[in-house]
Amino acid sequence: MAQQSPSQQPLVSVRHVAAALLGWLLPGLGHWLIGQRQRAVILCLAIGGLWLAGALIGGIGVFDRKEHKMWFLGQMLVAPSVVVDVAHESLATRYGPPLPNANPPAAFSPAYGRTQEQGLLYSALAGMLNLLAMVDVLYRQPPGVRLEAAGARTEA
Amino acid sequence: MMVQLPTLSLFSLGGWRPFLDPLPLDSHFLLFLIPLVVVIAVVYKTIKLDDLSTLPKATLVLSVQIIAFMILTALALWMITEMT
Repeated sequence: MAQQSPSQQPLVSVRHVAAALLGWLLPGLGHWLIGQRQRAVILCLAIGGLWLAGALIGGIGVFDRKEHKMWFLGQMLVAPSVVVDVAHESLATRYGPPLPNANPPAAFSPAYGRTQEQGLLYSALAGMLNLLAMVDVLYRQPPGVRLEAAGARTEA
Repeated sequence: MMVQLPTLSLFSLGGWRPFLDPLPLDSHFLLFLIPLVVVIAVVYKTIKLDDLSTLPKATLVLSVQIIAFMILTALALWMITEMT
């Protein structure tokens, strides 16, 4: 069977789609699976660090798909956000709503004001940057193939 | 009915429980925009650059550009609100 020329090769392969989807589970994993190891480590540290910082600043209370629907659309672009939201709902259901200055202390404390804003911003931006990384995995080809394909399409 | 959760004393610092309690940063919130800008620049340049050896310099340049643009925009908006 004759090998496909670069202009006939699909722009997005099944392998890249699978890698992009796995990148949702852990930032940088998609790039690791397509052989971009250096990029994978940098993206994992940057996006993962941003997400962790958001969780640390605002606490698990900022991951709330009922209270912050629009922000959650960004947050859920990183899989751990969904896990934390489920855990936060479970804690609120099991131990009651968090009350300020409760004795004994509530399972978790909600964030307010600037602290909540920063926590939401950090975690939602981490999600959106992860989406950028996932899209990059979809279309990232070895430079030679990408240039050849682009050149062939331009000529056609 | 409130149930006391066991708190791990190793991880509670002066009563603050990491990830369970928010950080008290109301008075310094603007400073937290700087690491945010740096991370955005890092991720963008990591995706865009073919040669990652230039990543630190490119990240620094982009971060400074973003922060400068944010300051200029804030000044412009402040001037508009002061004039009206």
